[in-house]
Amino acid sequence: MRKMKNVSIYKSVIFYGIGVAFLFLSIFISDHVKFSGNFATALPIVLPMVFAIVFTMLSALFMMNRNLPWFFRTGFMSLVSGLTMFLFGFVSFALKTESLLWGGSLGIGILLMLAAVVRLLIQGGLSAYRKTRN
Amino acid sequence: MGSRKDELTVSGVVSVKKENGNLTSKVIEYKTPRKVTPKVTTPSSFANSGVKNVSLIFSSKTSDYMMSFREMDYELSEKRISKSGKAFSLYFEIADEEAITYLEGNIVPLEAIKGALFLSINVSPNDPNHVDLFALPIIMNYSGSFLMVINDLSTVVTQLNTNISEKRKWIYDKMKLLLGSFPEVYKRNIEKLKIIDGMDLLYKVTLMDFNFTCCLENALSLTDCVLSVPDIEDICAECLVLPDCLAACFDFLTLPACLVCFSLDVLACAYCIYKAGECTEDASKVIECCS
Repeated sequence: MRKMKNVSIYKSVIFYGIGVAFLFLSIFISDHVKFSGNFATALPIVLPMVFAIVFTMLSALFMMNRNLPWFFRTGFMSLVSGLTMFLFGFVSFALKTESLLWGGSLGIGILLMLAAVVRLLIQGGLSAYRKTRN
Repeated sequence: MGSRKDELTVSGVVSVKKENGNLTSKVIEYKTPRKVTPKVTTPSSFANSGVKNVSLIFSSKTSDYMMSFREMDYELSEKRISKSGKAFSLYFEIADEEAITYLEGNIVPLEAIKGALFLSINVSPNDPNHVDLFALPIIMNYSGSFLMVINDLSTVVTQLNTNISEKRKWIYDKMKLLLGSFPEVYKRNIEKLKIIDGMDLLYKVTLMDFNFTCCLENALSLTDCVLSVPDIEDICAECLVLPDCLAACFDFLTLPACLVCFSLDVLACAYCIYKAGECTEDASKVIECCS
């Protein structure tokens, strides 16, 4: 059982690391790809950010037992990736990147955190989690 | 020529659509009116605008009107965007005993056949009681010829002419006078103006006076962004169910639903980030250019 938990933590750390690497990949691409103001040309910059969201969400998912309530799991996933994107927004702003990067990550970060609040507090993810602990 | 230093009040934006030849204009009022201080054109701001060389194509002056078309070479090099080419500018002025009304515009070809037109219409009344400092962005959501848009603008101003103050009504009447006079002057000189005739343009138009090369262009882009908020909300909501799709991927029974949901949500998230970044960029440019 303890070994299983360690495997989950390793998976989680690795996936989170890949997520963060994707975020910095988008900064690297934005420095080398000309972005001419339409969605198609922004895709090479934006897609690594989306995969970063996916990987940070998966990282949060691996941390949790599959028996935990659905709204708690999805809310926690939103919270982890929302916080990551929100913090990345400030980091990318400090690195003087494109506003597509920092504005986009701040925007999606705030939205994901709001979604997490809805799932954990309004839809009762947190109280369901407390019930399973008792 | 038309550079106003005073603060202008922007209380709303007009969105114009055309379906089967019928014009419909919708006024979107801001909850709180905004104040805009147009940037005053100086030699250095003109040089930084990217305009390299200006030459006069055509000029006509009579006792009734004054009109000139200029061609300019421009070279815009932003951080990641670089564009260069030729742009055309228009100046049209009529005066009567009550006011001088003038229209300024820039046409920037974006591709071989498409372009963006930025217009400003300014009314300078002799009587201070008629002065009403306001800016009213008008977005034309369709393509068309140069002359057609001038005609349409006249209709739009007529449609706006209800439930407004006497001061504003007076200004709109002057605008209609200017717009009504333009087609005839334009037709009289059409042979000399073939260079811009037939260009298919994507029109973004504003009334009143701004330094349009920076402040106005970005203010309009921001307005476009703000107007598209309901669409963005739908798409971002689609993105926010991504955790549900991912959690469903770990169960064999829900795997097909996971794949469909995941592929759609990835695109929704990409578009949501793109739009958030785009609006942030427009907002930061508006702050930078208009302050």
